[in-house]
Amino acid sequence: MASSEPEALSEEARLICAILAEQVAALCEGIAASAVFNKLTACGDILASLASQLEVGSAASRAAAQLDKAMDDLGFQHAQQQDFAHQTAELVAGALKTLATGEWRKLSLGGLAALYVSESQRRLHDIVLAERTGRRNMTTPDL
Amino acid sequence: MATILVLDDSSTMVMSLARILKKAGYEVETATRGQEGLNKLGAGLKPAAIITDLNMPEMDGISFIKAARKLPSCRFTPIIVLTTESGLSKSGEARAAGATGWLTKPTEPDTLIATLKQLAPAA
Repeated sequence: MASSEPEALSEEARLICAILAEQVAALCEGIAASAVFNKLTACGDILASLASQLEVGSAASRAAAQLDKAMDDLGFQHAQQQDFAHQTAELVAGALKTLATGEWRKLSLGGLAALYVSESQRRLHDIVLAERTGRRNMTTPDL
Repeated sequence: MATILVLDDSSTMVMSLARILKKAGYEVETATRGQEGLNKLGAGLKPAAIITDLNMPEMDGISFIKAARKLPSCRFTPIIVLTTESGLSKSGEARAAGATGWLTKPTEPDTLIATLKQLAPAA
C-alpha cells in the first residue's frame, strides 16, 4: 500500500544539495562584487573629465558626453541584472540548503513560489510545473 | 537642490542610482537597509522623494513605506518603488502602504528620471 508520506532524500542526495548550496552561495558573492560596475564608472569619469577639457559644444565634447551617458546607462543596466541574478542565486542556495538538511519537508511547491522576487520567476515555475505535471497557472493569478 | 533618498540592499544599485541622480541635478542620500533609511528620516532628512527596492532583508520595502508614512515629515513625500516585481498584487500592496509610483527593473535611467521629475523637480 502506497504511503502519502514523501520519501526522504538519501544521505548522498542531501550531501549533493549541501555542496550545490555552497557552490551557489559562492556564486552569490561573485555576483555581488561590483568590479565591472566600478570599471564602467571609472571609464565614465575619464570621459566626463575629457569632455570638460574640450571646447564647449564641439563635436568631440558632445561625443564624449554621449559616451559618458552610455557608460552610466550600461552601469545601471548591469546593476539591475546583477541585482536580479544575486536574488535568484540566493533563492536557489536557500532552497538547496533546506533540501540538504532535515528541514527538507518544509520545502513545498507553494513555499518555493513564495520565495520568488519577480513575475518571470513565477512564470518559469508555472511552465515547468505544467510541463511535468499538467498543472497550470499556480503562481501567476494576476497575469 | 532637491534631495532623493535611495534605498536598495544592492550596493551596486545604490551607487548606480546615486550617480545617475546626481547627474540629473539631485542631491542623494543612500541606505542599504530599511531601518537605516528610517533612521535618516527620523534624524531630520526631508527628501523631495524616496526611491526604494521591495525585496530586501530584515525590512522589506512595503514595511519601510508603512513606517515612513507614519513619520509626520514623510506623510506626503513621493515614494517610488523600483523592483524586480511586476505583479498587480504586489503593486497594489505597495500603493495601499503609501507608494506613489512603481517602476519594474530593468528600467532605463531616462524613464526613472522622467518619473522622478514629475514628482520632485530637481531645482
